[in-house]
Amino acid sequence: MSLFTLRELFFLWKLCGANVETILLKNDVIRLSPPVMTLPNVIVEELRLFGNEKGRHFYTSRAVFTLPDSNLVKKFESIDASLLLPSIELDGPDVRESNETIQSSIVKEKNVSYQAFRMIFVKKLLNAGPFKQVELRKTVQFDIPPMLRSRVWPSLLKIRPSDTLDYDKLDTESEHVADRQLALDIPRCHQYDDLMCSPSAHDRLKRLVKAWLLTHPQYVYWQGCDSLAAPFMILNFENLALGHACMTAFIKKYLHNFFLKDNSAIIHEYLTVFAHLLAYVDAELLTHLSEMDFIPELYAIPWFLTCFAHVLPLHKLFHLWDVLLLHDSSFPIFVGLAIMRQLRPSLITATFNDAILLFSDLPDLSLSRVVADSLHFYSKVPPSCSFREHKGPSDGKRILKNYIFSK
Amino acid sequence: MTAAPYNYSYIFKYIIIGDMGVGKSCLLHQFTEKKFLSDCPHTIGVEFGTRIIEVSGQKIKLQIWDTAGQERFRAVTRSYYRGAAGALMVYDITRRSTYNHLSSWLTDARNLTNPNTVIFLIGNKSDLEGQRDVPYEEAKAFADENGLTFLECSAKTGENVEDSFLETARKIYQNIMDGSLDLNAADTGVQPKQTLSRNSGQTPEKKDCNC
Repeated sequence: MSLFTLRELFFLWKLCGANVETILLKNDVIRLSPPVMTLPNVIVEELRLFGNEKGRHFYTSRAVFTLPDSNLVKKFESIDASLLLPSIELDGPDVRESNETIQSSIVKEKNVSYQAFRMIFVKKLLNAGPFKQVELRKTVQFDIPPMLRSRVWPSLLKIRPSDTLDYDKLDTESEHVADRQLALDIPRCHQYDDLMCSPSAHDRLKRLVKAWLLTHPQYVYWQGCDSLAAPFMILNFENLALGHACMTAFIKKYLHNFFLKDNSAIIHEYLTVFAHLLAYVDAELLTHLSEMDFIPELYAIPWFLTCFAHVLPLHKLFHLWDVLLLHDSSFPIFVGLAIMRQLRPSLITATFNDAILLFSDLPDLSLSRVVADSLHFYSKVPPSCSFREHKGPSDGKRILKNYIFSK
Repeated sequence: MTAAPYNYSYIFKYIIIGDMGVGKSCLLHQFTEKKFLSDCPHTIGVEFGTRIIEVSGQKIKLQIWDTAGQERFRAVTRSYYRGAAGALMVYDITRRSTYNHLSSWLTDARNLTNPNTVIFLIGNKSDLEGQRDVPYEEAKAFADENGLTFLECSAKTGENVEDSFLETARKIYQNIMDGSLDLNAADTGVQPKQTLSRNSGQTPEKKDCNC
């Protein structure tokens, strides 16, 4: 067990099916009253409760309580020890590339032994720093262990320790022109998520966006920046400096100049390239959409402006970005194509009315299909076709044959 | 997607405009789903909703374009006005600045739609009477001056929401009936029902990639 940090152990412990609240309840450490007994006598305005205060008191005992770990220990004992001690020199990145690696990420994230193995393996590569960057990129194309995502992403974004130094010098307290907008937008950003609707998360998200605005005077706050910052805030909840560095690198790489005061040229070019590529991979669909004047301006702006952060729920977004971070700045366009492919059966017969509604409440997309299709299009479409003048600093040449997934 | 042949005689295009955070998307949700979403995400670009209503015995499908309110998106949202039969211009009665910007929204609405477009002024958040920042009379005077119909609504309680959408539809319908709105003209925002019969849902999924 010494291979893991306490947080990682806790994560594995929970994967074994344990739940802190239930255990504490069972052992009478905390006590809950039936909801009907907690009702107040009077409620005034919004949630100001009067009467029956005693019923709503929360009972806890102050003693130290040890959580049982027998399940986790048993699980560990059943794992082949040699798997938990892989050699990154001898075994190579493809170790244990079995049936398990190709399962969907949701299944893999629930698998205790797989997570235990992956955490150790990926952590070893991370600890080797730049020397194992190539191997790291190779292995995380299968999946990124959720507990290590906050370390893998900075590595994929090539964050240097010095990138985080300036954060503490930034004044995120003083008033800023974007304050009023942030106050309106942040309380409605990904609010279905428990963490995101907490006051502490609101505060951190505001700081993160403000810090980014302060370090980029050429950019302004566009609605959507909040959704974009959210994943970085969540991953680096206790280390916003790193979150800030990641967000900066991410926007520089994938959303160069999107947040200029006047970004119309950039957006327009992006959508045009998207439409061209849609014509390339599915001329029939594009023709149908164009005939009824259903242009990308009506549905694809939130996709590309936020790299899908505004349209996908967070758990899907993390998996999509896991893949996105391994590819260049043209990848979001291919994700767009993959979404169109998934919606095609409905779109090809749709009238304008059906089409707008379809996109307004985007149906539950199968993310694994989106990812697979994006990779497929990305590998098949010649790189020059996705050329954009406003792409920003070059992120290396993409050579079709070198594509890491083709084996 | 449902392919049921809803019987409606016309499609009206509406556009909802106004400053950010005034509750445009909430009004839309309240009207189409009768629900109030307090933490409804902000709109980037445009979102849509539809509902079928009845005016003088005729079924009418409203196609509602809910636009982004942030000033920066104006360059994009301006392209959405074309062919709107109705424009709902929304401000927040608890924030005067949103009211002060109405004239610029009105200018856009007038310039970018056709002369027959019915423009309806909505003062939203009427449930927050205690925080009121814009008196009813003042807004009413502004509306009269500019020939707009005006109602104060609450997307939260649903008060008057239905009426504003329906009243707008009635006016448009009246314009069609008295001939001031020519259905044959371009971009009126009114489409008579297409007689096209669709067989959607039946078409098998075809192979969609030729590469």
